[in-house]
Amino acid sequence: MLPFNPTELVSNAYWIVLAPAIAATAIILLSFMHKGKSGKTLAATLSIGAVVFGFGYSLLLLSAFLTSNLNQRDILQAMELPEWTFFQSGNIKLSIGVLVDNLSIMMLLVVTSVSLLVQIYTHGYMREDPGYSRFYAYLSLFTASMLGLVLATNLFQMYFFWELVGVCSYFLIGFWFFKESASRACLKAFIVNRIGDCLFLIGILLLIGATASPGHDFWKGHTLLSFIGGEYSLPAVLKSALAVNSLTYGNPLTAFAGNNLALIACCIFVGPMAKSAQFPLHVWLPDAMEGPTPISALIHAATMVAAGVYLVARAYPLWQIVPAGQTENFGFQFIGLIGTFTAFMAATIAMSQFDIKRGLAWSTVSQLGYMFAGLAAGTFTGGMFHLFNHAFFKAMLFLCSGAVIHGMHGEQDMRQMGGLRKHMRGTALCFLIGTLSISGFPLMSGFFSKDDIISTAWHHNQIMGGVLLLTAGLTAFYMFRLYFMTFEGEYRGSVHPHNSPPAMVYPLIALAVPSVCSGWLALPQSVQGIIDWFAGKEVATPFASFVHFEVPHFEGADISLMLAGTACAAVGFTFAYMIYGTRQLDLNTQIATSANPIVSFLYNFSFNKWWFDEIYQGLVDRLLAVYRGVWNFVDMKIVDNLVNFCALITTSAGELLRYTENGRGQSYALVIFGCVAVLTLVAYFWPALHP
Amino acid sequence: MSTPDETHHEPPNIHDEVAAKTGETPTAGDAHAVDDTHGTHDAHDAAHGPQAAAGTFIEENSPQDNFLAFILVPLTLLGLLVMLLTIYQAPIPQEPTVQTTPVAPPVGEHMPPPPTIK
Repeated sequence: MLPFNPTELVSNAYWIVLAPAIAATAIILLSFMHKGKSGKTLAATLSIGAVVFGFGYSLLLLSAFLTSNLNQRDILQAMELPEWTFFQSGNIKLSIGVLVDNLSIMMLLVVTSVSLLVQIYTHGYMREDPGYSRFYAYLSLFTASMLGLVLATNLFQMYFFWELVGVCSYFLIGFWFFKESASRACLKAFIVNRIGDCLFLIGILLLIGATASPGHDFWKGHTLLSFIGGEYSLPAVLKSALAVNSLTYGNPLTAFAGNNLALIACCIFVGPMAKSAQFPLHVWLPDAMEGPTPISALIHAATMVAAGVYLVARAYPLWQIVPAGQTENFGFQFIGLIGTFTAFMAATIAMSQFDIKRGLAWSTVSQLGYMFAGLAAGTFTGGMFHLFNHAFFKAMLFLCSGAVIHGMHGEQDMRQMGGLRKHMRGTALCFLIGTLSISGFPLMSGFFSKDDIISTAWHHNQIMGGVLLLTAGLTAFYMFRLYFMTFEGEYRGSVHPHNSPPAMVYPLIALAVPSVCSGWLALPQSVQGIIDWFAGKEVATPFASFVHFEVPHFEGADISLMLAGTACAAVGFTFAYMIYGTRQLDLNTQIATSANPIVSFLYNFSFNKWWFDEIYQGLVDRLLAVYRGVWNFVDMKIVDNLVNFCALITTSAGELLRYTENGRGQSYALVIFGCVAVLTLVAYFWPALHP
Repeated sequence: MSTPDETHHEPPNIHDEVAAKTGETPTAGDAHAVDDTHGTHDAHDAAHGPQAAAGTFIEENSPQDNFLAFILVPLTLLGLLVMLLTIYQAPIPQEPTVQTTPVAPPVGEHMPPPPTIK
């Protein structure tokens, strides 16, 4: 029975993770007994049922958190459940637990609601696929892993679930593993993420070395790397370590940054860089579109790729604390640089792609860059608000693309589309809503969060703010390009497009509502408050009150930057409308026939994704070419000979010993007699030799 | 210069590939199976008639489809609206609150200590 008492509700929150995990196990086990339609129904029921439970439970947690006064504690106080210790050695203690606070509740709601709608959509999209039940098992396993990551109480636990979502992503990208492109894509995603995770782990170990070594143990037997826990939490320990210079001693490894904290922060950030597809580890995400579209919507748009942003937010002090004698944490500068550059780079690539899903994938990379830039510029709330809004409208956009692909019999090339609005009105309307939202159309959800990020970035660093403003214009251009090429104009394809079943269209409509409204959480609760907010006064807003770091930070609207952002988006829209809507501006032909090599280069630069894949392939090839002789010698001469030598020893020993095992009793008696004789002689002569 | 990849390549039809690998074929006589496996366009048209050719065809629904689309999705939407309204009406802290050492015992501290593996 579901506990409704707030305290018990929080105490049993681990069931949110366990329910989909149990569902995944049950689907796998029961699939052997139930084949055919009954097996499919069972798989869908178990998987969707588990996530319905999770969504309902998350809503109850939200209600409990915001409406009741738990144990006289402030509503903003995080709650930590008893932890289960699974390793203890001296003062080193590793535990798993469940952390329920405002940030995790926000993420729980995002993950469970999007997962639920995607799973409903999946029923329509995958119903004729032979791997239907397997797909639901993976979906449930992923949902459990992602929820475990969200509820993690410490960095170690988060790392565990971090790897688990990576494995699920690998399974799901390669779901149609018999396609060579899919198997290559899942391998690429796996390898790129391993690079990030390796450095992430090194960062964790360095952090332990700096804060839990015998000379500098700040955890005192409490759970290592715990996010909360008073003076034994990560923020407090970092402060204590900095106070005694445990994190600022110099060594050859950290000399470039001047302190250990910068190295640790940068190493740990490489994990989110890979998971959230940030430059230079972004190359896997567009290829991950080889997976089924529901996966693209759930994992590679709304939830898993946002895990990197969530990690930075959860371990925010690691990047936010400024060592004495410095003006800024190097880690934040690093994140800001990477995020801003990635936002711009991905936007330029998205402008020329023809595959509808890959266009959206590059858009995701760009928006994730916005989130990191926001966090690094200092707007914790803005970064998380963009994550919140983006999850809904990007999941909807991906599901819309899936409905288009389904209705176009597998066609993904936008050059074979056009005019689809007449055939799929609901899908077209939802795609338009998502496009308006991501482009920052006034009063749509993306408008508020993007404006917050751009405004903070501008005041933090004008170059950063300028690049993000420019990127806002590019975003409007490539998103309306997608819309016009797909839904407007004349139909250019050869197949007969058809609408999708309600199980696929209705989830789009459900996601369209938060895509419009979720941004309004940035508006004050009263009319007077809204007027004051637009006038630039600091007025409390609901989302900033709900999700913030340490203290709520309220700011009024910066009208000038708001107008600048809207103007950039309007310019982007105008260009897209003239080129792809009315075709008044025939830029494509001009580019194609231009004799100017710069124009040609710029187009190819964008279309070929800045040649990152080719550069990486070339580097790997050259690296292998240089060390090929060394690897060959080590492998053929040392490793092979070592193995052969061991085999030779074993074989030779066997050959020698086989003569002693001939099965004749007389021989054994002879050996026994000989041994007894030798022992007797030794016993006789030993005292004489050692008087 | 030539615009890259202007020629259109028909993408592989994944459902056909699945069917080829697994040996599963669309159910005979099931118009929607033909449609969903993306058989020939002629077959598609033949299955769905003029409506399909006009592109206005909406596939028939099973009871599960109807339950998911007409009951579960609206309920989820209701949940999303409740979520937005709850956050919107959340109490605004009058004074900034710093997340510090808990002033009261953590929730659930009365529970027995967890097993420890040393």
